Amino acid sequence: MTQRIPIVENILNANDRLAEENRARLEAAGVFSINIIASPGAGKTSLIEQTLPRLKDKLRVATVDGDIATSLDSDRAAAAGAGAAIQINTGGDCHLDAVMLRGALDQLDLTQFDLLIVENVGNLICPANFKLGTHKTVLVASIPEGDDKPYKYPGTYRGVDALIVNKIDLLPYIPFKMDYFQRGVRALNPNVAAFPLSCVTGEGLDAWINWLTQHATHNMI
Amino acid sequence: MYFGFGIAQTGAMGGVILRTNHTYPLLEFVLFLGCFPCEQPIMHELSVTQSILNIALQHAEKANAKRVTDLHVVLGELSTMVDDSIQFYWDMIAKDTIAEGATLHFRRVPAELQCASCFKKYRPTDGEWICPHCGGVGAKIIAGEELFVEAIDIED
Repeated sequence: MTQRIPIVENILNANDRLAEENRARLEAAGVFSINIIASPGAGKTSLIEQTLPRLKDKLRVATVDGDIATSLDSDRAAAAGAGAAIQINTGGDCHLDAVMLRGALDQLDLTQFDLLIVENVGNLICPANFKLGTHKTVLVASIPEGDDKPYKYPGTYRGVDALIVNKIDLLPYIPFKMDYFQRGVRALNPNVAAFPLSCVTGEGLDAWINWLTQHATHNMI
Repeated sequence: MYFGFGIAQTGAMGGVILRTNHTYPLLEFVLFLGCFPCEQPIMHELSVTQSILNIALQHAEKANAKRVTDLHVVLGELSTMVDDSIQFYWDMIAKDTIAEGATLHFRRVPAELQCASCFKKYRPTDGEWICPHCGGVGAKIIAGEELFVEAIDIED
């Protein structure tokens, strides 16, 4: 006999529950954590490279890098001074999920750190769907990507706590309408903390470092 | 153009396949090739399809079902999930389970927003989220983010 069973279960429930467990582990150890998302080439790893030396003597930092393959990013993070740099190879998956982060947390002695920086797989769609359990999500946009990205990826721009606009040193060379970009961001996320900066020249990095340090030291969750 | 990119990807993927233990030959092949249209190695629909299967099997087992014949899935317009992709992965991963051959029914829910200033409701059009009535920003999403299994049909 055929019968219908009503369920109404959120498809990402299992992931969301694990994300909560990750969050509880991080909080029990007093670790503040951020999830950095961006399209490939926007400058996630460059941002981490510029950030780590500026946090030296202030915060003990661990990084987790997600990539489809290679350990290039965690090598760069380690070289820039990360206390520990864990690489996750997703083997084809376009995003990190809570299970993968749990595996990375297992490899870290969390009591030895104040800040965990998670670098997600380069992609503007999928990572927005999969919670990891981190406290804040940081989106790295960049000038060469174009000014229309908030309009094209509303789900991603809407859900972030901080927005880095990287590569502002290229503004003179690229037809990027900052007004149009900002209008798109404001429509979706009027209260986002925005940091226009350049990882090459260092311009604008101080404001970002202040924001991160403030949040990590006072656990502004 | 794509072809060159594909070769680079395949090299990386080949290493991964050696390390993993999955048991879906066809899926392995897809992982190996990557997703042709989007040039992404694979899409989030794989994880989502796996979760759909897990949910269906869990509930079917609880009900002592012999077979799952139909699944009813609700996808909001803003959920960034493509039903064709879910169907594509479904056929591979549901194989050899009691949900093999089940028909997937998708109910799409259009996006609807409510202005945070004037509280009027509207639909976002062409990436435009600013309120068409008052120019307000930061609208609340009332509908369109749905991503859940509504029901399954089973034979017991």
